[in-house]
Amino acid sequence: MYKFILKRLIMMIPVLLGVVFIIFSMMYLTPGSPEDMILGENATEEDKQQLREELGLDEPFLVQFGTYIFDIVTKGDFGTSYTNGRPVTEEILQRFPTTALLAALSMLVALCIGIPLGILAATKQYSIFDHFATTVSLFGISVPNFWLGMMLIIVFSVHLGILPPSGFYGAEYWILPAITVGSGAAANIMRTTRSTMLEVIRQDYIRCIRAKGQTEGKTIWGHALRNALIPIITVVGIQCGVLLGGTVLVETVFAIPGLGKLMVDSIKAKNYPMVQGGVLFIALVFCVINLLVDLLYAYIDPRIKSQYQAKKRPK
Amino acid sequence: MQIKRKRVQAVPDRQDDILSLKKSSQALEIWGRLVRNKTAMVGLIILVVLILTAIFADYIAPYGYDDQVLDDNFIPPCAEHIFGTDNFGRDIFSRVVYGSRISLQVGLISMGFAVIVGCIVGSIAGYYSGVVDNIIMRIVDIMLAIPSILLAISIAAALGPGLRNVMIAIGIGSVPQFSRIVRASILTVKEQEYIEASRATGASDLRIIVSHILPNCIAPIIVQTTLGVGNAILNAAGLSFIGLGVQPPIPEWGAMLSAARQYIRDYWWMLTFPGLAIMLTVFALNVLGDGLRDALDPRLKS
Amino acid sequence: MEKLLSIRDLTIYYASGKRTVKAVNGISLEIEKGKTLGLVGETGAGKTTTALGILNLIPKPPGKIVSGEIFFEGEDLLKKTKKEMRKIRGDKISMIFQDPMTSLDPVVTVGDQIAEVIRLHQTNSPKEAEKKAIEMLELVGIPGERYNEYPHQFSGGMKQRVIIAIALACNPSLLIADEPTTALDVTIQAQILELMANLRREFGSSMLLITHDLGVVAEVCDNVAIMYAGQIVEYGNLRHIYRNASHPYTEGLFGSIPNLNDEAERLKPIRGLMPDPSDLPPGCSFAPRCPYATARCHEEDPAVCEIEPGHLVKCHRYEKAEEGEHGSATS
Repeated sequence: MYKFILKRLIMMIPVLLGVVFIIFSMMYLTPGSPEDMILGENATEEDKQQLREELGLDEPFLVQFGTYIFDIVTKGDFGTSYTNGRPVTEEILQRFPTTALLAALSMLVALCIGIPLGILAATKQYSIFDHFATTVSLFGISVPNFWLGMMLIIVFSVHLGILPPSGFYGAEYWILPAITVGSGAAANIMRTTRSTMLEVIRQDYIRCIRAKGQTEGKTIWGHALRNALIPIITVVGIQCGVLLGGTVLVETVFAIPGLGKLMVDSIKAKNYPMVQGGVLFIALVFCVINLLVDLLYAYIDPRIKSQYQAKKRPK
Repeated sequence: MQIKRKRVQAVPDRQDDILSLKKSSQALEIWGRLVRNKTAMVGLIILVVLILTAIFADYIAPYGYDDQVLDDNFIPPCAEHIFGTDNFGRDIFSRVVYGSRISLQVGLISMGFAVIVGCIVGSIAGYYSGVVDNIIMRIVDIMLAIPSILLAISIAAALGPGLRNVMIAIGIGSVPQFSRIVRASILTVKEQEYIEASRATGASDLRIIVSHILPNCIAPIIVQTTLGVGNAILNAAGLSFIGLGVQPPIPEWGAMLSAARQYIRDYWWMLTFPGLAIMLTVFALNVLGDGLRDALDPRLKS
Repeated sequence: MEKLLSIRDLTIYYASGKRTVKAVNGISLEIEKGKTLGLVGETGAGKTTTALGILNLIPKPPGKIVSGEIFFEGEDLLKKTKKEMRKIRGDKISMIFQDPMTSLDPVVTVGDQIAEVIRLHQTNSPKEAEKKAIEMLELVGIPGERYNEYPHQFSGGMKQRVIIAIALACNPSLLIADEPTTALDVTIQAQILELMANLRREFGSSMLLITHDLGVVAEVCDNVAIMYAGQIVEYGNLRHIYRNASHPYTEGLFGSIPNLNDEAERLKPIRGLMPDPSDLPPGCSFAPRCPYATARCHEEDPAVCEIEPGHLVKCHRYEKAEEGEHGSATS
């Protein structure tokens, strides 16, 4: 098992290198020169030249890329912000906890809504509740989350005045953003839960468990749900990525000073090291989440676990 | 002479007829299943109305999309301006109507690009397994490691704002998913006996892929494209919302929302209607996509 | 003899779109304490539906128990509440399902699956349940150390042993076995049948054995009910059925078995297929395939007649001899 984790961690390295390469080359090809951004338009040509040498911008592409990777690996250094000269790493680490909390709360909302509703819809297939839940979930995956956020602000902050529209000072400030970001994930999780549960509750072993005299509740929420978890967890993993991306827009709506807001501001300010660092950091987090999802598979399904263990043995 | 020629042609003609009959009856069957799915039909109707709106926008919209009447700004929905007017006194209904052109254009073109590139890349990977497959799929893995909206944001940030760049950003961002789906379907179809048979008759690789393999994995591609157009519209709106997409005064729905954001406290209609338009469009595409999936593969639904 | 189970006029329908699938049509049968009844018929005859009906496990909707009574130890199971039924399932009546490959929860250890039924009905202590589960595993011939293994680590025959252990763990008075050996290799079939027979003797359970294999019935059962299109067409003890098969369908079933002693004789298969259960013929449901069918058979549903004590046949051919006696479905 540990060998499997190690192997997966090693496999992550080329993927992350590839991500760095793609993002780095994209930013490299971007029109507009960093020296203009940093020094302003009135700087002299000598100053610009000096800065270019300082930043290593005169070097060929591959050397610049190599230096960038080297700094990340050895110093955890993602470069320096053009706008305020602070290290990108520092800025990201300062902002990320806020985004992580928002993402975690949203996922919590999504799980608490998506899984129970999916199960109920499946056990009452074709009922009014099922039709209602299915339709709502369809709207849930169709609504742009930044718009949903603004509509929630109009209803709950502007008209009802019961929840704050923006900022982050206490628990009540998290409610609307978490619902906004979580709604799409909730709808996706609900749809997967429903379709998987529909399949599982038709299986022979569920009938067997009923024949043992097990209560309906434990049959569905214990046995059936556990068997349905693999596809559900897959979707949860994918939704984690969507959710992290979604925070970029929603943090802007609610003026939450997280990583997403930082990136949007950086894009507007053409502060590319920041954008680059932010995308890389989120990709890294997403990779770790995917690894965790794979490990969860083994924990949930003994068949997958024995596959992993079989791979471990020398042939 | 004439009669003779007719006779000679009669045989292949009839064969073609039988073949096309067979194909059309299958399409009819799928269509029949789709028609019976009420929700999917709702989606289809919304979509048709939307496409007609986009085509005849000049006739439907009561005002131009950039007709500014500064004295008439911030008029709430009324008989004259059923969706109200914005900060420049422009008619929001007209802007939403013209906006359908932009959104459908972004959705269709970016997905068209993604489907074509995805099919080529996926076919190559699936058909020539081994090293080529491995390299392509690793690149796909790398692209999928970046959440799709972030990938689109990065590309758009690099390319700069504008309608064309949005389409490129979203198109590129969707290529990996399509490559994956095409590759997976090709892998399942590839081993079928009729492929072996046509290879045995000496058909070229390209011919086998285009005329035998792709038609047989078209179902997942159609479904994914339908859902993908919806996603593209969502992402495009998102990009415009953070200022990376379509620039004013072009009436893109996401850009309208972005502009309306600062008036959220007082003028709800500026936000509500463009958002509703996005949601309805994407909803229609999602419902239709679900319906198509059920219609194309009845085994899935039991 | 005391009756353990007595089913009267049980009718079960499934609603499938606009059609109604008549799966079970007014069957009556009985099982005495400690005895085994074989329920024999083709696939789709309604055997499994009958079994699920006894446990009240028909999926509803689309299934519906339209009428009938199921008396078990003197009480009507159809009048029990859900909670009362749960107490009976797995404890007093337990069931072995057809396909061992799909009948065990793939993500729970086999030991815990046995312990589950014990905890539901016998003890609250997890330790005790585990101990009893290990005992049960060893009783069916599986080493107790395999308690913590998962179903995918077991072969089909071993899985069926686990399922038998689950079924017998609470010492049920009635065991329903739905084609317990159909999905297994022939050599394993014999082992499993022997194991079931031994354990049943040890526990003193009665059994309803559902099968389409007349050979198995001859080995295991005391009484036999032949089922066709949701009806019992012939009912009697082993001697009645094997020496004096009277219903044309039963004759046909025997004619379909290859006979080693009589090599010259060709097989006499029953022609045609079972009628569509959503569109049953108006008269005798076997009439379309029956070599003796008359005009009357196609129009009028035959009554049940007792052609010798305890031997019931549902066929027009025997009605003349039994004038005035029909209608006594249960003796």
